[in-house]
Amino acid sequence: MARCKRWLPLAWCVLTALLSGSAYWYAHASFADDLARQFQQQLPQRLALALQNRLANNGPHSWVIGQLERDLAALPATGRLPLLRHCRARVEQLIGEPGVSPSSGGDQIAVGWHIGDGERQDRTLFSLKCDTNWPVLLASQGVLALLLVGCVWLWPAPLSSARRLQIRTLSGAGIAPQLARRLSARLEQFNPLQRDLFARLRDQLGLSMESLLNWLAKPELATLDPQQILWLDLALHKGIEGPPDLDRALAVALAPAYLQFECEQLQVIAHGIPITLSKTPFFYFLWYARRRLAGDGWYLNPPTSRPDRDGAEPLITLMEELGGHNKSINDLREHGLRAKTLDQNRNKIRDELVSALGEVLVEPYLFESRRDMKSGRYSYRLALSADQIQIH
Amino acid sequence: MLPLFLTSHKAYFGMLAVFLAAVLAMCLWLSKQQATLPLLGDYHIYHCETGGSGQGSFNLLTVSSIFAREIADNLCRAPAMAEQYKTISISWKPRQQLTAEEVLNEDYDLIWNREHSLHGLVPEYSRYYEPLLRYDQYKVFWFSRNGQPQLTREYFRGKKIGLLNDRLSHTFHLLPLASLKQLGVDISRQPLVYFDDANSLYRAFARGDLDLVSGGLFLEQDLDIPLQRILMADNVVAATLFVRKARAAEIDCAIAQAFDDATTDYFSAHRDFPGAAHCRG
Repeated sequence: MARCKRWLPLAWCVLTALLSGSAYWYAHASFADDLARQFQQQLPQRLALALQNRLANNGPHSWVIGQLERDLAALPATGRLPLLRHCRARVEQLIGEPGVSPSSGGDQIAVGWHIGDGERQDRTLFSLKCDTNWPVLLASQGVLALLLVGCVWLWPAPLSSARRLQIRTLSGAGIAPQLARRLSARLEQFNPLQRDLFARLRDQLGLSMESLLNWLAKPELATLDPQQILWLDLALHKGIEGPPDLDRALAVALAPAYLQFECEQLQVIAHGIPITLSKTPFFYFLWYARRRLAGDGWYLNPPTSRPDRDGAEPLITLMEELGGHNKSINDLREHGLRAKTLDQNRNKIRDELVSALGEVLVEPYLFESRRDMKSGRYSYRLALSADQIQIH
Repeated sequence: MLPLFLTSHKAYFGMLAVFLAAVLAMCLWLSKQQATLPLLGDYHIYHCETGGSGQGSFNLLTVSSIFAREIADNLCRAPAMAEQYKTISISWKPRQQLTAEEVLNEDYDLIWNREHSLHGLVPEYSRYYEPLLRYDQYKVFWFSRNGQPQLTREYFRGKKIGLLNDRLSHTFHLLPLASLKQLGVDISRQPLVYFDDANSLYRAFARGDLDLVSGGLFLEQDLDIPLQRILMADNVVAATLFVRKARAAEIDCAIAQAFDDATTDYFSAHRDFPGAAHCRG
């Protein structure tokens, strides 16, 4: 629209020129036509009487020409606009044969006449000259052009077929036509990502179109990367029951990659998504996290034949403090840390995180491993760095 | 709010076209001009002012525009006319257009005509008009562009002859037909071409469309091409000037002088002016 408006002054100039040209042409042409018609009424009889009976070189021709030009020296022009003034006609050729002389047209007027009942046609040719009243002509046509430009400016800009389809779809979905038009205008300003989100979210129950559009209009939303979109989708579909909490979902999408342990609730918050774990896997996860915070975090699985009794102590303390299952605590006390138990719990953690976050997003929140070349056993630690982990 | 179907590009440009057409129509409507042509004068009537103390206008009707202005100007210069009239007005409308009413009303103070024409129009014309002077012994010739014409029936065989449609015209209608009749030519088998005006007749002759035409000596001067001629009739009354009986007698000499001065060089005819004795000089 702004682009169009910039062209309006130029369009006005071009239109003024076009209309002025037409007005100039038509003012002269209509005047000449009208004059020719009146000439044809008055002149043939007069010319036939005056020029009937003598040869050219002895006739009254020059006198007749003089008389005609005196009578035609001031021809008043009238019209809705005073576009012409000082009109006068001159005799170009008093007696010319038809076909030899040009017919009426442009600023020339031809009057046909004949003497008596004879078949012989003669033709008198006049040239017409009028001064153009340029100020009135240009001003009037400028105003007309302005009128046209104004109409075009006020007329709503056309909508693309995609937009119209969208409006039809919105109306079809029961939205009032006026609102549909307004929504579509806002959608027009969105990028494909925002429009895609709109398409996916507009059918969600309990969301008003206005609030959805206001939310979609947020600048942070327009610049989400594909990874963040996945987080957004995840967050939106977390609360399956009832309307999704849009702002929270956006916060999740924008959240940094971090893992927060809420010990009270036995909950981890990954990238803003809370995940409640079973008790024992949670404690193992927390134990690995603490190791990651304390140092490089690597813990080599103990050999099958010799469980790690010393290493089990911090985990036992942790479980006792936070109300772990007695069975698990006793098992640790009895057998120490065993590779099998560690593997089982890591697998459970993985399963529960995957079921919460999906295969793609979960990856950074799981474990990384490396093989000890001497013993052939594996070490594990949290893949996140220490500064991405918080424990509360 | 526009209905949705009007928001398409097609509808938009359609609407632009409608707007443009409407504005263009308005432009033409506004710029249309009318001409006011004043009532034009008569171009077969020439006026001049005598500049004297007289009243009214002296109106002449002549048959030809050739000498008309010269005659009028001569009259305007004549002191006798100036005493009687304010303006001189001469018309050269076709003699067929002279009406009985105009003769009876004495609309013209002077009429250049032939007696038989005037008599045919108003048999008792002599109650209002009388002849003032007469041009007679006017010579009419046959003219040819190719070789000397001969007054024999054989010569005329198959020759295309141009005549005027004006049945009152001596020179161009009556005399040539009489000449043919006299030679024993069968007029019904002679190729005769009729014209509405002398102008067209002579133009056709000059182009070579005709073999023979009739005319006075003025033709050699007018056409300015080599012509051969033979006399057809030599005592023709060329014209008679009829004047109103109710006129001031003082103007007779001025009228005769004005016509003489204008026509001498052109009109090789004898002038018969009974009243000449009263004129000075």
